[in-house]
Amino acid sequence: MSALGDFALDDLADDGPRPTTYSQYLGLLAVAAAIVAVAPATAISLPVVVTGGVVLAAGGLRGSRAWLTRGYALMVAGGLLHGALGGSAVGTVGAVIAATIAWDVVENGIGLAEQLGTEASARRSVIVHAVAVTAVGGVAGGAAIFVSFVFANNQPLPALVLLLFATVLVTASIRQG
Amino acid sequence: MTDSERPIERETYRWIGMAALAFAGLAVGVLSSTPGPLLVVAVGIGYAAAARSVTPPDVTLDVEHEVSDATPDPGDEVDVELTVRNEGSNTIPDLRVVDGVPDGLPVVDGTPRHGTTLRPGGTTTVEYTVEAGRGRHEFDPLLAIGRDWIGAQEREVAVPTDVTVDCVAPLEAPASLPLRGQTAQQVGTVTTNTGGSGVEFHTVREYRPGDPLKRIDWNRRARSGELATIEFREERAAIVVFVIDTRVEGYVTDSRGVSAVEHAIDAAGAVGRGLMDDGNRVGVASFGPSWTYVPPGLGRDHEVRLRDRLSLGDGFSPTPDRSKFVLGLALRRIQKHVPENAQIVFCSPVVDEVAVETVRRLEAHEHAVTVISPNVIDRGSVGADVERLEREERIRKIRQTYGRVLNWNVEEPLEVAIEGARRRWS
Repeated sequence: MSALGDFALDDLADDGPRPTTYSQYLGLLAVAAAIVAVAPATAISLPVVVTGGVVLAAGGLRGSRAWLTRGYALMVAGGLLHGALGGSAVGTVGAVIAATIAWDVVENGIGLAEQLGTEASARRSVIVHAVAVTAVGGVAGGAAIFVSFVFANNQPLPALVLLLFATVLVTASIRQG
Repeated sequence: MTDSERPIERETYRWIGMAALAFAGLAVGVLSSTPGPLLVVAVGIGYAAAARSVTPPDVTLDVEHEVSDATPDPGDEVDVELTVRNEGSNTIPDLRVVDGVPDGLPVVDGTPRHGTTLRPGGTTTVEYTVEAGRGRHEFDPLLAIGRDWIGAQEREVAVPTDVTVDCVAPLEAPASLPLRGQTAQQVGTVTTNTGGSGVEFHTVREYRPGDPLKRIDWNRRARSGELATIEFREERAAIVVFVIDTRVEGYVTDSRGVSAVEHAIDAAGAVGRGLMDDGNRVGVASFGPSWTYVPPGLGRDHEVRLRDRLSLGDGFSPTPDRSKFVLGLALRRIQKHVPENAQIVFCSPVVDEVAVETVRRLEAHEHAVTVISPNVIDRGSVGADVERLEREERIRKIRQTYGRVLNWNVEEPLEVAIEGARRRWS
C-alpha cells in the first residue's frame, strides 16, 4: 500500500468528537481573517490559504487533528508565500497569526469535546482562551512589525545571520526550559 | 489511575510546532530576502515563549452537591445541582470539571460535565438529572482539570465528595416456588416423606391405640371391620437461604442493560415473600467478594430487613465489586453462617463453571440446592449462541447430578417459569 494510502487509514482512526459550535465559529472567523490578510495579493498565495482554510475547517468538522494540522500548515505556507512573492509584511504576519488562532481554537475545541463531551457548555473558557491566544499573537506580531518599521530598509546580510543565530539560541533555550 | 497519583501537572504539548513555524519563516525569509516571512519568526518565538513561561493554574476547589432526593424509589428522577467554587487566589482560565456520577445512576437529562473560566471566589453551577436504580450509590471524586490561558500546561485534581443516594427497591410480589423435601421441625408447607398429619395422602397403616379418630379409615372399617389409620404427608416449615451470585460474572447484563444480579434479587424477593407467607423462614446471603448476610427469619420486620439489605447491603452493590473472589472462602462463610438444615436457593446466571462447582459443593455440605437461573444471554450473535449452548450444558449437568434448576428467561414473568418448572418437578 502506498504511503498516501496509509495516511488515509490513519486519518480515519484519528476522527474524534466534533468541537463545540463556539470553537468552530471562532475558528471560521480566524480563517476568514487569514484570507482577508492575504486577499490583496493576486498571486498563488490566496488559493493556498483558502485551500488550507477549507482543510482546517473539514478537520474541525470531523474532529480530526491530523487534517486540522494539515490545513494549518497549508495556511502558513500560503501566508509565507504571500510574503516571499512580495506581499505586505503586515499581511504575511496577520495571515500566520490568524491561521495559528484558527488552529488553536479548533484544537482546543476538540480537546474540550473529548474531555467534556459535545453536550457540555464551555462557552466562557473557549472565548477566554481565544482572546488570550489572539493577545499573544498580537503582541508578538505587533512588536515585530513595529521594530521592522522603526529600523526599516535594507538590512545587511550580517544582521540576517545574527538574527538566525539569535533565533536558534532562543529556540534552543526554550526547548530546554 | 488512582487518586493518590493526583494532583497531576503536565504539559499539553500543544505549542510544540511553534519552533517549526519560526524556522519555516526564517528559511523562507532568508531565501527570498523579504521582510514578511522573517517577521513570522517573531510570531513563532512569541507563542513558544508564552507556552514556556506559563504555569499550570492553582486548582483549589470547593465542591457542593445538592440532591433533590437522597432516598428515591427505583425509577425516580433525581436532580443534582453541583456548585464548584474557586478557593484559590488566581483565576482558572480554563476549568473542566467532570462530576463523579456512580455507574448505577444513569444521567437522563443534562450533563455532569462542564467547562468555564473561574475567578477567585467565583462559582459555577452544573445541573443534571439521574435516574435512580436499586442500591447504595456513592459519588466518586469530582475530576477537575485546569489549563492556563493558552492551554500549554494543565493540572488535574480529584476533589472528594460525600454524596450518597440510597435507593431501596420494594420486594417483588410473592411467588410460590415448590421447595425440595428437606425440612425444619416447625409446621409449614413443605411436604415430607414422613407420614403424619397433613392434607396429601401418604399411606394407610394398621391402627395403633392413640391414633386420632379423624384419621381412622372409616370406609375400610365399614367394608371389612378392620381398623386402619390414614397417614398424610407431613408438612413442615423450611429454612431457606437465598444465596445470590454477586461475583463479577453475576453482573452479566440482558439486552436492556439490566444485570443478572438485579434479576436474581427480584426473584429472591418474590420467592422469599411467597415462602414467608407460607410460614417458612427466609434468609439471604451474597456470594461474591463482599459479604452481606441476613439470617433466616419470619414476619413483617424481617421482611423489611430483607428488603433493606437486598437494596443497600455491601454485598449487593449495583455495580460489580472487582476485588479478588476466593471460592473456598465464600463457601466457608456460607458453611459458617447458614444453618445446617437450611435449603439453599442459589440465584445465579450460571455463566461459568464456578457456578456449577458451587452447587456441587453446597450439595456436598448436605444443603438441598435449588438454582434460580435468570437467563440474560441475548440471541443473535455467534458468540451469544455459543454462550447460550454452554450455559444450557451446565444447567443440564446440574439437573442430572446435583439439584433442581429453574431456568428463567428474564423476558417473561417469573411466575411463567415457575409454572413450567412445577410441572417438571412434580
